[in-house]
Amino acid sequence: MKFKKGMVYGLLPLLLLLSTGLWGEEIDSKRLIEAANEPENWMTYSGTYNAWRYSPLDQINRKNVDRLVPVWVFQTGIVDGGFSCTPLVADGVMYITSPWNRVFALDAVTGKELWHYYYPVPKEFGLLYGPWNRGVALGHGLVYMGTIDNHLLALDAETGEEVWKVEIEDVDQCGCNITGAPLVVKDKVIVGVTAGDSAHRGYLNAFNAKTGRHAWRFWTIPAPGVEGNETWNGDSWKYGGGSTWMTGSYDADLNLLYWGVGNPAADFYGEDREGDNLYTDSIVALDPDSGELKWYHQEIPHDVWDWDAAYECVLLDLKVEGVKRKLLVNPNKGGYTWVMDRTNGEFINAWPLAENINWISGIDSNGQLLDRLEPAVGEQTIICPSIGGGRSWNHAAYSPKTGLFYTTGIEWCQNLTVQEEKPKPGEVFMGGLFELRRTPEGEAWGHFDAYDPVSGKKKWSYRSKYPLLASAVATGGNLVFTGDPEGDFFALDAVTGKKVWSFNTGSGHRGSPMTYAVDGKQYIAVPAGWGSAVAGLMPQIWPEMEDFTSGCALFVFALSK
Amino acid sequence: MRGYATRSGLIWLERLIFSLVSVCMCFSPTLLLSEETTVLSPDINILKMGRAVFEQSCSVGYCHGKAGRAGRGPRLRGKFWDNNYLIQVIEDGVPYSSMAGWKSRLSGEEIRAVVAYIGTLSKLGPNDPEPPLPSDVTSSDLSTPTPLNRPASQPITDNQPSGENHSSVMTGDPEKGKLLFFDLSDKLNCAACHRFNSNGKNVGPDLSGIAGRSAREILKDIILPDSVSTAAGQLFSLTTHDDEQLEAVKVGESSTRTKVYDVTSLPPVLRSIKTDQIKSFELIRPSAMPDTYGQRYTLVQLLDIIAFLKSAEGESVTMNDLF
Repeated sequence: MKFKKGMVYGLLPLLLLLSTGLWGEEIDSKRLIEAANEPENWMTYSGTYNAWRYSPLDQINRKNVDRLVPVWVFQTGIVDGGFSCTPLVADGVMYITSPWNRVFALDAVTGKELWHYYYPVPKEFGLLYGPWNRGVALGHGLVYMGTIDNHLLALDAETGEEVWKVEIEDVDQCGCNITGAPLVVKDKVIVGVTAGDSAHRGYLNAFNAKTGRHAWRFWTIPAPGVEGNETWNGDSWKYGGGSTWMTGSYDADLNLLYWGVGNPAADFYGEDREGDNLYTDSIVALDPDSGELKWYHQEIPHDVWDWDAAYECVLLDLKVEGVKRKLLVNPNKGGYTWVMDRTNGEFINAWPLAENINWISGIDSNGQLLDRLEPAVGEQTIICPSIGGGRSWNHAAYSPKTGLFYTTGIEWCQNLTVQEEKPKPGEVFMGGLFELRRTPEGEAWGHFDAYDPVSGKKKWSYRSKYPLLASAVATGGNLVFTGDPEGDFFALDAVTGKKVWSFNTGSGHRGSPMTYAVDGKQYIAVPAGWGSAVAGLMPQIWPEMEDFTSGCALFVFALSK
Repeated sequence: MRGYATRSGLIWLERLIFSLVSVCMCFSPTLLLSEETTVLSPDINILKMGRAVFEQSCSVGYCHGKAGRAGRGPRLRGKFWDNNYLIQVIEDGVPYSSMAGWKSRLSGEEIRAVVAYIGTLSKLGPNDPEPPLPSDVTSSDLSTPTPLNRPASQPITDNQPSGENHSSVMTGDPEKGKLLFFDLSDKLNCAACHRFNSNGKNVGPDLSGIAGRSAREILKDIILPDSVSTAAGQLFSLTTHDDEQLEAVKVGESSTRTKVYDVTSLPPVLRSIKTDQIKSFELIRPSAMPDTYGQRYTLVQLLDIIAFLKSAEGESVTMNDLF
């Protein structure tokens, strides 16, 4: 066969692709820090290190969103616990994880599988913290994932071959595992751990990204002799929870890693852990190179309600009383959103994202909690919100275009009975029982709202029959996408909150949508699949939800011609 | 060894009593669970125990919900269950699901009591309040289960007596030994490389079957590891063409990659290195186990660890047994 000149030109793009590698330029620290300059990609858990979950892509916008149609669907084949990942996309390749630690690399244009990796899961797995997984991290030619049995592993990004794997702590001993996505910062990969509801001492770990060798561990509960241990009495520090189950943020200019720490254990019974219980319910700012604590801000001292400060740390540079400041915005599970100075942890404001909050009457200008309602042991107490939170972990989005912060809120309560409980290492350690209840007015519902991120002033609100357990993504097209438990994936006008588009994916939403582009074409991707711990509690208020079908399929949308 | 003899005698007496109780319970009408019926005329004490165990093990957190209302696990109320099926699922779990087997954590009596309690939930609607048990039950009655045979997972506090000291000879404390074996705050903890009863890493030999060895032999294994080297546990120096150097224990190889545990620092990392990237692979020590454990642990700590390793035999280990 003879090649004609025209054929060679025709093959040029392919040859170019092969010569540079089908998988593009390796993702290094510079690309991750400057990820905002690559809007076609979504290379870290929240899109960019500042956790905005915002993309400036605007090909899909308010004017044409009615032409948004599904272009491919990928079935993971695992239906257990909901589909809660954030897909990552780099140079036309998408990486997703399903429950039970299956990783798939897909052609982001067609959905064709390029490789898959099925983690050899343990036959018996009985943790409170289920088989779901929120996604991978990318960098150094590798794909990183935490596992249901508390390992961190690295796969070859081009082949899916296992390159290294390290066990962080024996799963049966610690009663802990990893469900959150790791975060690559420079030459390290950083990963948290669950077990905030177990008799376990929490930590955050960093590993050498290339070799898997352990680099540092930050204990979220200081040992005796270390400052902060005096906030625990007796041996309570050994079993005090303080999980790091979500993914943190990073400010490259300040070289600070921000991570939210979960509740103390026992969750509800606090009499054996008198004191503030540092650093539970705190935001910690660490040196990512050494793990050294630079500052902390404890939102809720001595938590006895199972709140968490573990959700996203959104980094914003905004004016406060006329002065531009480097801020950190953290929605807390208890229903308030904390705003602090991310250079030093100074409290700036706290505003409610739910209406039904009764465990405090408010938060003063110094960040002090007012009128704490601490349930008495052995008595039933109505606490609002419920253990599911004034909001669940599903993430907010921030649009620099509108200046608005988009997040869900849930109106519900619980009947809480606190019980004395002694720790059994590695086992569940909650110190109480709860039953979900409607609000005192007999209602329960969810909402999705737009706020001024500093003042908390609400701009608009979208009401939902059921709590919304999907993350949001905001786009340069002035759209905000999220999904509901009945399977509707929908877009709201980012300015007005008006629903402008929806598509039912056949199963409810518990994951995190994102957007990307390949060859100049914008796509919207969303994991669809109902399930998770909080989803499982909902039939206690809405019995019909027990029959909501689960699933685990990735839907990708683009504009029709 | 008077203390040992006394302890052994007590154990046999306990076992005999428990066996008799277990046999009696198997034929007790209150616990003989059939497929056709939920528990008929259940004994209130059994139901109290079942409810207490359920609250501490089944309804906790996000699992089956208070009184079986549903959580991440299925709703248990308002359904009629085959009791034998329930016992099997509770004992063995559901493979590849979040439902673990509980037979190592709950006694047979506790499991049967939980099944009896679940039977009382069968007629409850999704949001019905839980009715009181067949006799007056207060929450304080339910707060402390008193099973006859609670295995493992007892709360561990530093207030526990250190070992049994019926004689002047110090006896190892297996619970303290277990804490040392799995101590995450110590990078060189035993579990970083060894498994024991399915927990821990498999870089070095699995120690689950070591109980048959004498305490003296185990002590020698720990403090003089080079004397018990095996081909699988040899320590190599691996150098790659990128001039990365690592101390390695070989695990296996595929057509393209060599699998090793990188033990340069702990915890060990299972590395799959492209074989064509390996420049050299040289034996440096007959055993990868550090020979520093004789200095790292005190003699009492070594005694506690050995007591833990030999705990499967149900015998105590004294300081005299080490020498």
